[in-house]
Amino acid sequence: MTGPFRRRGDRIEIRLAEHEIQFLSQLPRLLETVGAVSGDPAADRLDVPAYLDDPEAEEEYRRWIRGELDEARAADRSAFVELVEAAQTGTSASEPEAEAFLRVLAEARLVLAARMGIEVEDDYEGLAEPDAAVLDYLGALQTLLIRELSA
Amino acid sequence: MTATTPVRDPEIDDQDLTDETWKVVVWNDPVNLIDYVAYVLRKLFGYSEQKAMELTMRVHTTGRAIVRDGPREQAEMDCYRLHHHGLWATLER
Repeated sequence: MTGPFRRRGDRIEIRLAEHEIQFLSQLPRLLETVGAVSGDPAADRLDVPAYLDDPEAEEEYRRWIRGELDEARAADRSAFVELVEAAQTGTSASEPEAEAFLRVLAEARLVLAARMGIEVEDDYEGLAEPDAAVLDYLGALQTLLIRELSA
Repeated sequence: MTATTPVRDPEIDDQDLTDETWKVVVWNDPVNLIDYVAYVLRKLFGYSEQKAMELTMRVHTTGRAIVRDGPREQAEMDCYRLHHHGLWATLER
């Protein structure tokens, strides 16, 4: 197994190094802090409006999805933690579990990037190290996992 | 593990019994990867790799793309699923 992910039949094998596990296992805790303080740009980025010009429709939409979205994200994080913890010796994920893993990586990148002040392309391009390296690492994991999910 | 499916409030459903078409728009954002956006469009809407990548590149180069359209309830469900995946999606008529 050359990368951390490998498709075997209808499952995706995952194997991570100890230092990766230590880092990745912190992500759900990071995501739980979103919105804990007012003015958190990460909260705005995760809860983008569906209706730009209709506050009433937006409020209805928000009321409709609020609980569901929180529940779905919590389930993703829970699947992520289980996979990360089991990944040192090697584990395998179903496709839905691997997709939950993928969504948590995406969510973590969005949260970190928002808190790094990234709003437009130029912000990303001009990002200094080590911030850029953190986003690149998570992005590389996404790319490798997508490759196996698509195989 | 699967994501749960929201059940709509009947009060909200009753307000929208028209056949009006709503568009689901995905906007460019500087953080989500092109490969990820294309993968999400393929998985959620069953698009071919080529169509998903064309839409993704339209988002990337023009700033936005209409990725689906349909009745309001379906469009809201699509928008919810895109939001769950972290994509910047909105609805418009």
